[in-house]
Amino acid sequence: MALLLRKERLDDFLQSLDGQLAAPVRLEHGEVHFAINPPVEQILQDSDYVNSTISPVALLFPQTEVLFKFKLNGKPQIELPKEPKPLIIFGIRSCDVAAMRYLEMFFSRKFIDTPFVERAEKTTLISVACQRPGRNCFCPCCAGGPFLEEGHDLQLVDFGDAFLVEVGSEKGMRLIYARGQFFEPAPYELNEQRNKLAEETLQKFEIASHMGTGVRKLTSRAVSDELWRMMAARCIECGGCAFVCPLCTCFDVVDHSLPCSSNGVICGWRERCWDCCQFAGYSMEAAGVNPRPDKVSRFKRRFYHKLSYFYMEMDGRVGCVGCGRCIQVCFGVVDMPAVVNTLREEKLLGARLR
Amino acid sequence: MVSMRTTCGFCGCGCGLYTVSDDNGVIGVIPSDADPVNEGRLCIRGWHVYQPLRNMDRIFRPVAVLNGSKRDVDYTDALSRVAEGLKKFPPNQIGIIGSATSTNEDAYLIAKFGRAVIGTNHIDFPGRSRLMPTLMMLRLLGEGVSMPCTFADLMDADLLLCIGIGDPNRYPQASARIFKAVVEGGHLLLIDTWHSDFAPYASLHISPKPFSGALLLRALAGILDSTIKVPFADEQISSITGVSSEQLRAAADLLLSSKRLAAVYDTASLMHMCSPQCVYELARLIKVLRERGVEWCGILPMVERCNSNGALRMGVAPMLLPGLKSVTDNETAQKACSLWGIDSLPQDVGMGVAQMLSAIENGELKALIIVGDDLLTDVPDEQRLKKVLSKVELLIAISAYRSLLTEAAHFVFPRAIWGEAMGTFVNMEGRMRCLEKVAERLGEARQEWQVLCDIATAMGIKLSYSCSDEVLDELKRLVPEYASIEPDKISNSACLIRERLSHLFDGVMHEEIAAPELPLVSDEFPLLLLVERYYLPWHADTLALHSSTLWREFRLRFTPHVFVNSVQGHSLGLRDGMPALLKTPQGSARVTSVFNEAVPTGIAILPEMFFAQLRGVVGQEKFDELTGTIVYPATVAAMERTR
Repeated sequence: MALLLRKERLDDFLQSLDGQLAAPVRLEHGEVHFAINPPVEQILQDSDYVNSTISPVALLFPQTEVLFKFKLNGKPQIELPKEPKPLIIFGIRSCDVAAMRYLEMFFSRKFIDTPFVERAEKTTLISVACQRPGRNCFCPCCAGGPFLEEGHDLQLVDFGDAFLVEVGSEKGMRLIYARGQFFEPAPYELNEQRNKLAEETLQKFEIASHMGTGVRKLTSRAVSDELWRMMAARCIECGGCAFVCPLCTCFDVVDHSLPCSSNGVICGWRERCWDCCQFAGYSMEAAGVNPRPDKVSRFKRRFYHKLSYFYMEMDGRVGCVGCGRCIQVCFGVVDMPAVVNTLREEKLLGARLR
Repeated sequence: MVSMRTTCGFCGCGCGLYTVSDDNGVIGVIPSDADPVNEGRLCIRGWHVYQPLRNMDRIFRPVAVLNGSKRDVDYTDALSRVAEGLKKFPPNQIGIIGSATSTNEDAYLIAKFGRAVIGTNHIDFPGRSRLMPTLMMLRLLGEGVSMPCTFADLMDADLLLCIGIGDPNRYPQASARIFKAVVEGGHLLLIDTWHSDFAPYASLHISPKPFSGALLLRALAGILDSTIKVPFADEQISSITGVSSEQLRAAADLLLSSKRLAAVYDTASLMHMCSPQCVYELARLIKVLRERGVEWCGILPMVERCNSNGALRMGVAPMLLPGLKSVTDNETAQKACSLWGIDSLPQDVGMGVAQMLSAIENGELKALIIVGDDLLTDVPDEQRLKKVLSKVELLIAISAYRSLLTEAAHFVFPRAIWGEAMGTFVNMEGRMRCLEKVAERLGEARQEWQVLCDIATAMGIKLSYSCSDEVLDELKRLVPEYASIEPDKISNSACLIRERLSHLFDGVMHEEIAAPELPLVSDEFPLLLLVERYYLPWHADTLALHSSTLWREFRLRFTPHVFVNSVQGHSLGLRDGMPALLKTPQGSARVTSVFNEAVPTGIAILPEMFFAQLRGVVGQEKFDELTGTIVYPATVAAMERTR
């Protein structure tokens, strides 16, 4: 089903939504962040931005999250965080929608991760299909966009003075049913034009990451240790690639206690924070043995996780949606496309040869 | 969810970032991709800079020793007791040790408090002396040389001359530019004893023997300009530095092929690639290269702590007033007097940190104010520090965390940490950066400028500002060169501090140069054991130890360990990460042997943080009188596997 939302009605539509609204805004120096309930006039339109610095999946899986508060005084008392409010993410890009769907699968696979799953259930994604990919974008290489065929609740395609609205889920359908007054039926030709736009957008990407070849090279172990060593030399173990990657899910759990515990009462909280497989302490085992004590093995492992057949089989996709954020954060030009294309060529490449 | 723009408070890069907060306080950071310093990148420290704000292991209230016992006291009570105490000592018996992690506003108040309220020039911060050769170099260089140059300038150079810069994660934002430059086809001339991760990407990597960097640079200058005296023959140079004449000539050719050259060096390197002498020799080399047709040179001295550059410029130094003006400079002194409302300033050069510690031992210095914890890492000898501090008759610490400094102190004032403090920093590029208050202060924590103003007021000298901006305004009135600096304009040259030094240093190049004296290895002791800074300088900042993730990473390296490369390690029968016995002519100790390919064959490296534990085996360190820095011993050693 396709509908049309005239742009002059967008503000009213956004204001009619229940719960919290997260939408992209531009900050003073030019960065784009997802803000909660920003003034409607500040919300960025499709042509105004490429994507946010950090993926909006961080709204559901934040860098630090209090899991519960505790009080130990005789019988331990546990206070769970408040139930999440309904959240609508407007302006999320296709790659991040693909990432969100992966995270939902991951966090409810064997062990149900309650904090994430509860939030995800109450979250609705209104994505805006990309027509102006950024210089770091390569989503067509990883089934992450630029237009979505599935995964979105609603997808908006910018047609100048109106959006073509595509409904991708029941959640999206419900949202529209309750607000029929904002929409009108889309003329049939728009569908055809939409497909043409999607085709044209594909021509606008500046870089590519040949994931399939990368996967083959990895799985056939065609890559020499020397090449891994050279690439790992440029990794400074900052953790940035994992922190900005919308598909990375690792976290560490820490307990904090308050110092003001009088009469032996201990108060505190347990929180989780993002962790990264490039950190030496990440893989340290309790007995003091570290299966990946050196940078090279950790670096190699990261790409094996994201690209080898084994993990694809388990996770159902390559561990990348092509958002290009790792390119921005990497200190040593050993981001996903740089590594994949190095694997493909089996030799080191210059940055411009992505 | 709220995001606020601020600057990372760990190293001298000064990366721009946003903190993310919710009902539970600051819960994360987002790098600023519009910032010219970090362009969206953050290192492991930057990503976790918010975590100390979530750690409750802090000092919340003022503590005082009353009738021999230590207890929490009322803020005003502590102030009046401190004021009373300080009045008992003549100015020249009082010293102040500041911190390179203080904001400019705090540093300015430290300098002002010391001079205008106490009347002493015994004002310094640990690590200040390492920057002095660099200041000297600033004086020596003429037109066509940018110093410090910016990170972006590194990308514009056609050749990067990197001297003693160690591992890429020490100064991440400089490393990012170096890697990007070489990946895009630029050239890297690496002069570093370490075979660091830069080495495979260098057009030429020269690995001089330890302590021979200065001679190597002199020899290079000698090749380019025959009038420069090199007191050794070619063969001697090769044997002293371990670098062949062919390699030297290749390096000289590479330097000459450059039109735009950027030189980068680490002001905190202990491997003595960047000793004062080495810095002079670099200045000489740059001068020669300018004469030989290199059109532009940029020099980026990399500094370890977030505001070393600022503390120095604010006058936290025994010989400097704000604006890098000498304490003997009458014009500035008069201006300061009228601005600060006093009659005169102390004119004699004061004592630096090293001299202050000796003076306490001799009983010449009796009262000491210590800000922050930098001293803990700059004087790694805990026993000595404890002994010295126990002799201080009035010790006042302004600190956020319990340590041996606060243990020894008679009065402790809680200090606002990164995220609670507000003001500005000066990063290694000389860029003024804004630091925002992004979290509520815990307990009665205040910034050091506030504590010092309170103490002054309690002493009967009115010193008060409504906010840190007012402090900055006063500084701008005192130092006209800083008046046009606008730290908010992040991508504009309006936030860059560039001063020309016209006085203060004589600018004499040291002509004499000697071969380093190193102990000779033998069959019994086949290794040369050296002390070096290593990995991230986390131990240089107590803030890092209060981040859960950084603490986890740090803890991995908690037992004393000694680095050798794997080939050497295997030949000695060692195993990576396993116990070993370290033997030297002075004794033996149990350590962990860790393989690190950056260590040249024949050398073993003891990280600086473990030096104090192994002093009995390694030898005594010395204070270099000229620079006031610690010089660690070099000794021969053997290692064997233990079970």
